Amino acid sequence: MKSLEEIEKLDRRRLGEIAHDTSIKVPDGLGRTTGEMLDALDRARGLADGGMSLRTKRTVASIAAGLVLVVGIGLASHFSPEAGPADTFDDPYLAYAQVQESFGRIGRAMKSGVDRADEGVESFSKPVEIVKKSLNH
Amino acid sequence: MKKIVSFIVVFFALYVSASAQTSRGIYQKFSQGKGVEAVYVSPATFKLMSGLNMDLDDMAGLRLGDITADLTGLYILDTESKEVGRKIAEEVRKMVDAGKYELLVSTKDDTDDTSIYAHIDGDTVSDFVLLDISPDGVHWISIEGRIPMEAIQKMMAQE
Repeated sequence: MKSLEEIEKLDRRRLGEIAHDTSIKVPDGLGRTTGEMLDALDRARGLADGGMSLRTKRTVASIAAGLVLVVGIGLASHFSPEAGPADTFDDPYLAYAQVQESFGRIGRAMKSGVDRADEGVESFSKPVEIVKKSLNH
Repeated sequence: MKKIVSFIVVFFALYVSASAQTSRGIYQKFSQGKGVEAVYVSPATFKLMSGLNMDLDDMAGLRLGDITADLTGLYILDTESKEVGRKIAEEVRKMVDAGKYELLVSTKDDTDDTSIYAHIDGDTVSDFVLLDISPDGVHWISIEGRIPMEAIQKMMAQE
């Protein structure tokens, strides 16, 4: 098995020859990913003593770039003046009529709810009076 | 790399689903649908209306300028389609559940189910939402902006 120093000294031509050499058996357990090999190289170069490995730096940079992209698109769509819907009415008088109808509908619905609540209170007060009278006897 | 792409996809999906839970998001999602009548009034149009200085008819002397000065949007969706109406109602309920809305009034009888929600901050009400479900369809109104409590009392005083 070659040492790390020997591997570092291999050129591309020699690496290609090794890759095509079917007589060389891959040792059992040699299931390394490219990232692990990069980590090993970084450690050999002394980057693991305090700094981030190259793989970690690339991962962080990718995540940061992705976040910037997503946030940028989100902000652009949120603040873009053309992102909102189009006004239904060109004439402010027509818009006024619609606003009036809408407020009227809300007002009637609220009044209806309050009226029903008042009816409920009134119908509840009668049993309360009956109970009070019976307790006083 | 796959994890980063997955993260970005999930982030986008959350952003899109969250954006539907605003009045604008709900309006934009359903306004172009078949069988949906949609109305939108922008802040610019409200400013034009307040300049007209008109009285709102039959509203106990309430002036339009009293209300529209601080309004920022009116959204209306109206549909007779049961399927679309169900979806609109679902989105509106998600919106009120996610936001700081209070239920002001809820009335229900054999045919109609009407709910009104709003943000209440002291003497000011903001962001009205009305959801009316009936056999005729679903009607949704969302009014964004600040409305004085006195104006609401006058709205309720009308016959």
